[in-house]
Amino acid sequence: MKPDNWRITMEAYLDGELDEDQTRAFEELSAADPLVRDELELRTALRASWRRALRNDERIPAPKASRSAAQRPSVRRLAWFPVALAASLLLVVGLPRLVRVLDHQSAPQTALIRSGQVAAIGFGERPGRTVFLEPGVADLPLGRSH
Amino acid sequence: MPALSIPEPASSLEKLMAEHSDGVFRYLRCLVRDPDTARDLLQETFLRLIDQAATAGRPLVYTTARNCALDHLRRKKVRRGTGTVPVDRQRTLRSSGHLSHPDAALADKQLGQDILAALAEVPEDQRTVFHLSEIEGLPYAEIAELMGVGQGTIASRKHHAVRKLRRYLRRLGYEA
Repeated sequence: MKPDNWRITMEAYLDGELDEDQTRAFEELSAADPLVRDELELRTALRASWRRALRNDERIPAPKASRSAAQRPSVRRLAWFPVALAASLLLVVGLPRLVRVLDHQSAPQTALIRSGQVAAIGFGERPGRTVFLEPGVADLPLGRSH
Repeated sequence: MPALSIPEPASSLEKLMAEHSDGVFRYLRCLVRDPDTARDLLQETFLRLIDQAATAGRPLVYTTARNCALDHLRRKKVRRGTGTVPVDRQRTLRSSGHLSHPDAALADKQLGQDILAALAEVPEDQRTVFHLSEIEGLPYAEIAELMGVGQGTIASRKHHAVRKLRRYLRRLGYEA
């Protein structure tokens, strides 16, 4: 038997792939040949060790936190939808009224205030914080050169 | 007259997954090494099997998993890593049984990683045979069926895979 042949047979023996006659023949060979016997013993130990190492080590990993978070946007979109809708309505309904109110006021500086307030609505800031009335600037009528 | 029973895809798939998920994951992990990628491919495997879940057997499940992994490897053009071989390991495979439990677990974990690294050096067809036979315990006939080759080829591939793996592990300092 060629060196590789008895090793292939040994693998098949360990895997339970030999029929009765082949099994008996291999067992006779291993009983008669110390090299085969030692190799069979080592190979049996290796198999147990490899199985233990790979089967214990390889569990299906839980999804990563980032992957779970990746599923959240749909939930977040739902939560933000009413807010976005309300903001849009406020803009559509409130903006013409605001413009009407401001149109009743005189002085060119209100246009500056108006633009500041419109910008404030657009970015969600409080209007009082975003009105940029610097001394002197607010008194300048719009459209007039210095 | 017996009523026709229509298999429910969801329950068939769940049953299939419960039966094969662990083994298929280990196999995919053996092929692609990265556990996250293996998990993604596991999902892809069962997605591909949705329509055949009621009738799919183990060979089809593993064939599908293998196709998923090979598709992935082709897409990513993953090259087999050369890997650095640490030479300071002086452990024997048979000694971990004498270690205390945490040490043995650690040794097993390291060995598992070393085996995966070693298998990366082995051609995919031999790696598949090795894993399905040695680790999952599938019979040669089933492996031959899913790979489309004869059982003699399976025996030969396994022998070559084992020989290469042992040589690699010996280089790492294992008794193998």
